[in-house]
Amino acid sequence: MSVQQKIAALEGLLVRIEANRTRPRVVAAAASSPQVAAAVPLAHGIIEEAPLELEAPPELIEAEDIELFDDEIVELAPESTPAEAAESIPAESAPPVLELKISAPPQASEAAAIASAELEADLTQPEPVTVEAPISGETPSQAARLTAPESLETDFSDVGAGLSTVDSAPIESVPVEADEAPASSRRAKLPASMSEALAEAAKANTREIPLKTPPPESGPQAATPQVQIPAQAKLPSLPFEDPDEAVKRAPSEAQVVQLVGEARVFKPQTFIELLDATLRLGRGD
Amino acid sequence: MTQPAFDAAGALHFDLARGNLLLDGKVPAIAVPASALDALFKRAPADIVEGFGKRLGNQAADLVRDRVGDKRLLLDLEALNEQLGGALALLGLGDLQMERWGMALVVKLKSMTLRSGHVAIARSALEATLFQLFERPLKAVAVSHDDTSVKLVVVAPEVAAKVEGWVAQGLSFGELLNKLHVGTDGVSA
Repeated sequence: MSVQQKIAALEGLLVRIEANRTRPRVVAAAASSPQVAAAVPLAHGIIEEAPLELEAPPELIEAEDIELFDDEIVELAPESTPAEAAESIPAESAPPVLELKISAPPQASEAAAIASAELEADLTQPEPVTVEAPISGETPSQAARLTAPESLETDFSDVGAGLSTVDSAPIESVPVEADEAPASSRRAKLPASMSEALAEAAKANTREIPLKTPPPESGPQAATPQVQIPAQAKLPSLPFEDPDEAVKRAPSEAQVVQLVGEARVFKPQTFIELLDATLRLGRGD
Repeated sequence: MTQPAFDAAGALHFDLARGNLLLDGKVPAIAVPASALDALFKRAPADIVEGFGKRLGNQAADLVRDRVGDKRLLLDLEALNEQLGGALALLGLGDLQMERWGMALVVKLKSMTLRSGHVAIARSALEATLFQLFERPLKAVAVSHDDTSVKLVVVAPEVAAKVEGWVAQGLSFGELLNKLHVGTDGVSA
C-alpha cells in the first residue's frame, strides 16, 4: 500500500472516529442484550446506577473496537464539529455518561451481562449499593471505596474473585482495628481499665519530696496565718478528783522542799552509804 | 577516779581430760543449757527457784570478794556495778545496771537468758549478793519486767510489802519513787 493510500485510509478512519466520538460505546456483550443496566462513574467518583434502555444501531453492533497507536495518529482538521455529531445521536439514548472504559478484561463482558441481569431484577430495591466493578473495569473493593468513601469498614476478601464472578451480596463489614502506636512511640498509652488508671495515679502520687529545698526568699514575707481556735474547742477532760482529797494525799510544801533538798544534797561517796539510805526509804506512813 | 574493770581472766577452767569445769579455778561448775533450766523451773516450786537464785547470788558475791577483798566497802556505785556486773555476767544471769534515783537504789538486770522464773531468780540473787557483801538485810521488789529483763528497787524488808502493794495498785515508777521518798527518816508524813 502506498503512502497516499494509507493517508486516505487514515483520513477515512478519522472521519468515522470523529463521527462516533460523542456517541457511547457499547461492548459487544451489552449490545447483544436489548436492555442494559450500567454503573456509570461520574465526575466526582460517585457511582450511580442508571438503567439504560439502549437500542443499539446496527452499525454500532457491528462496529469493531479499533486500537490506535500513536504513530498512526495524524493531525487533521475535523470535517464535522462535535456539536454536529452530537445532534446525530438521539436525545433519549444519551445517558449521563462522562466516561466509559473499553479496556475491560475479557471476563468483564460476561460478568457485566450477569450483573446487568441481576441489577435489572433488583431495580425495585432502594439500596443502591452493589458492585458494578466488572463493567467499569474496577475491582469490587475499588467500587466499595467509591460508594462509601466515608466508611471506616472495608472488605478485601473478594479482591481476587471479583473479576471472574459477580457477587451481588452486600459487602461484609469488618471493624478496622484502632491505630496502635509502635513500640518506639512516645505517645502516652491510655490505661486499659479504671483500676489500672487508679493504680497509675497512686503511683504518680508517691513522688519523693526532694531533700534539698530552695533557699528562702529574702525580703518581706507573708505572715503565717494565725491559728484560730474555735470557741467550742475543749481540752480532753481529766478524771475528776476531789481537791480536798488531793490536798490531803499530796505532801505538804514543807515536805516537798525538804525532800527535794535532801535528794539534791544526798551524794553518797560509797555504795554502802547509798544502800543505807535506800533502806531508810518508805518507813513513814 | 578510774574504776578497775572486772578481771575475767581464768574465771572458767575447762579440764577436758577429766571432763570438769571449774569456776575461778576452784569451784566445780556445770555448763547447763538455759532451755534445760527453763524446763526445770517451769515445774519447780517458787522456793526452789528462789533458792537457786540465792545460791547464784552467793557465788557472785564470792567472785567479787575474791577480786576486791575488803575494799568492797569503799566501792562507789559505779565500781560495784563493774565488779558485781562482771560476776553475774560470768554466771550467765545477764547485764547488770545499778542506778540511783534520789536516795533509792534501782537495779536493772537485762539480756537474761532464762525465761522461766527469771524474775524470782534475779530478785533472790540480788538480795543474796548484797547481803553477802555488805551484811545488810534487804529486799528487792520487782517493779516491772518483761521476757528478758527485770527492774528492781531495793528496800528494807519491812517496807517491801508496802512497795509490792503499790506495784499491785498499778502505780507508775515515778509515783512509786515519790511515795517511797515521802516519810523517810528526814521527811515526816
